[in-house]
Amino acid sequence: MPNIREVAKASGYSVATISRVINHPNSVSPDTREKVFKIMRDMEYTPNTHARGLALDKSNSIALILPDVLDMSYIKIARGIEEIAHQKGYFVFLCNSENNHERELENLDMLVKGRRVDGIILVNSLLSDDELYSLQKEKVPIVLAGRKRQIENTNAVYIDYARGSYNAAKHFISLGYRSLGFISNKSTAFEDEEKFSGFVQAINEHSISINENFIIEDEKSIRGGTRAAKKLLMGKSLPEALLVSCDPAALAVLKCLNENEIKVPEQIAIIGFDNVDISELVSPRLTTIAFPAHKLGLLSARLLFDDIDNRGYESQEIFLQTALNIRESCGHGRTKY
Amino acid sequence: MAELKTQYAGLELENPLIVSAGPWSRDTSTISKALESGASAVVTASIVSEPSPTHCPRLFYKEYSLSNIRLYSELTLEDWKKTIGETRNNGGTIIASIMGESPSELAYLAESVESFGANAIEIGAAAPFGEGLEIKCSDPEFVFNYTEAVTTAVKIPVAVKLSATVTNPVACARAAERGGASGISGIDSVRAFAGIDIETATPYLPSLGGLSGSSVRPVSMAIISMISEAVGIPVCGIGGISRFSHAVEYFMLGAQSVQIGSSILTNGYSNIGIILEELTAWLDNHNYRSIQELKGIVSKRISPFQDLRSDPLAAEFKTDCHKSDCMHCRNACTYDAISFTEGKINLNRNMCSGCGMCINVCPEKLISMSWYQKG
Repeated sequence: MPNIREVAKASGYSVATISRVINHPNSVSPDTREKVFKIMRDMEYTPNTHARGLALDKSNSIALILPDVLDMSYIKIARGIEEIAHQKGYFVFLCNSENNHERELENLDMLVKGRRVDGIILVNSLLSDDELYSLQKEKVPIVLAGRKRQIENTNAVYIDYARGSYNAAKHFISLGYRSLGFISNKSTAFEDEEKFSGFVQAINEHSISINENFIIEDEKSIRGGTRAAKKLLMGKSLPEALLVSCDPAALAVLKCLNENEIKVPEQIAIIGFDNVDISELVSPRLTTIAFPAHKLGLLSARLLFDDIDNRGYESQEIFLQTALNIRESCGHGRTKY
Repeated sequence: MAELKTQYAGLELENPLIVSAGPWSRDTSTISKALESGASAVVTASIVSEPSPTHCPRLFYKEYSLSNIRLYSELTLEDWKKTIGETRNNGGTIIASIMGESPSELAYLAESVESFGANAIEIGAAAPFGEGLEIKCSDPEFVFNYTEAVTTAVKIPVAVKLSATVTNPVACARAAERGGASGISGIDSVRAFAGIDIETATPYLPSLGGLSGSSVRPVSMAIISMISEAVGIPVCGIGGISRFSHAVEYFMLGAQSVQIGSSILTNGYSNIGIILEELTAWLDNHNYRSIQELKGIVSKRISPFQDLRSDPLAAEFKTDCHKSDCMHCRNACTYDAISFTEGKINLNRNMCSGCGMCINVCPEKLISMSWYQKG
């Protein structure tokens, strides 16, 4: 591949001019710009972005650390981030932390020490306050996506997961159900703790007692949901209504109940969490708590680029709501609103 | 010639006609057309963090009313940077409408549109969408919180657009004023269902939407009459304005400016210029030197129901009516005061309760109301 000097020679302009065309096209007259671009195209020249990054101390890439890349709702966050990054001409490195604290730290270490990226978005991070403080000292712009800001001067876009399950449990109670169950995700992630705490809060506000047999913890997956449903079916009775912490597990529960000829919502009402696309394709259509994953991605990326571009804003904490998508599985009838 | 200058959202405007947020202010081209047609400012289509997919069809028009299932912009925040920049470069006054679900999200959008060059912001936090979200637009504390979050975040002035569905517009308007708003507008479109083609059993639009146009004007005027007496900041009337007389009605209720929207789709942008010309001519003909002289002059003639005093009035025919086949006034009278006898319509004033309905329905306008002590 030709280098910048060869392009300069072929075009008759100086290397400095070619460099300006590449890096600051607006500082060059349109005529010159067009001529240089044409020669670059003819010679099949593309600027070496890595070398360019070294010179500018910029990598033109950001990193995204997801707890689980197979989780459909996290992928929507990634999509939102990528859209903004693409517009800005940035690459996105995708890192998978497997919901594992150590792995998240390892990822960060490689990214920060290697100066590989201009900023990092951490989705539902497991980092402690101290770890965030030391990350802050590295002066790499970061955004916490999904969880509340733990320390000062950090950009965050967070979702009130507790409020989501609180609203779902309140919805069950308003429909007259008094025996409620909860299938939670087995993990150390704060979002799972929050989902359960919101459920408990609603139950407590209505002085409803919790039957421990109806509280089951399993992995956040179809397999986990299937196991939890089987465990529930082994008991003497079923709850009237069941909140499941993720949609894949909720769909597995639906299938399991169907196989055992237990009618949803007549015999047991169900609400899932995440609003994955297929949740409305099953029968009965799954009522689910939606969280704005794509929007979370868009806003997180915007905050990160505001920081990278030094727009001079103070750090921000943006709150996004969950929404209860009422369909059929919760026993609300045909009411859609 | 009468003075049209006025204020809204902290801005000094050349005239009181602003183009409202909607498909008619969706991009550079539409905004430019609105400005070229004489609008003193344009409120952008509502800018959101995440535009949703576009549905087809999304507009339905019938009986002077527009149903719309898309109430916010399809452009991204990044697109608006360009659009606001371009329209500001052309010298236009741009009020950026922003919509979000929390004070923090609104504050972020506000900072962004301020950096793009918007002259002012209008918060539309209560459109009839966002099913399942806790919008709480009737909660004055929530209105205060989001207004304060936005006014603290930006230096440009901020107005708040009220929803038609709030049950306490006065409390919400005062909360917005307390939160630092420089203007109140109302109303946002009204949640409504467009209707059904009964032959094919198909809804005209596949979801609930927002209703605007003539049919919402009385709803809006009720809210404007309430809030314009309750706040000290300029009020802007929105809803069903397609003629200069509609604007005059809003002014007489206390508004200092109006926003025009759905009628652009049926009358074109050029109607903005026509309204301005006719408004000026009407003011001149009636010896008003400025629109400020109209501000709220009718408000004092509107009383709470319990304070109404009842004059003894009864209807009467100004001239005899011999139309035996016209049933309008007879249908309208539930007091049996109107009958057709001896070759003409007779109105028994002793039986008339003075409801006024026959006057409204008479196609010849032959009936009027006058003082009548029943004997």
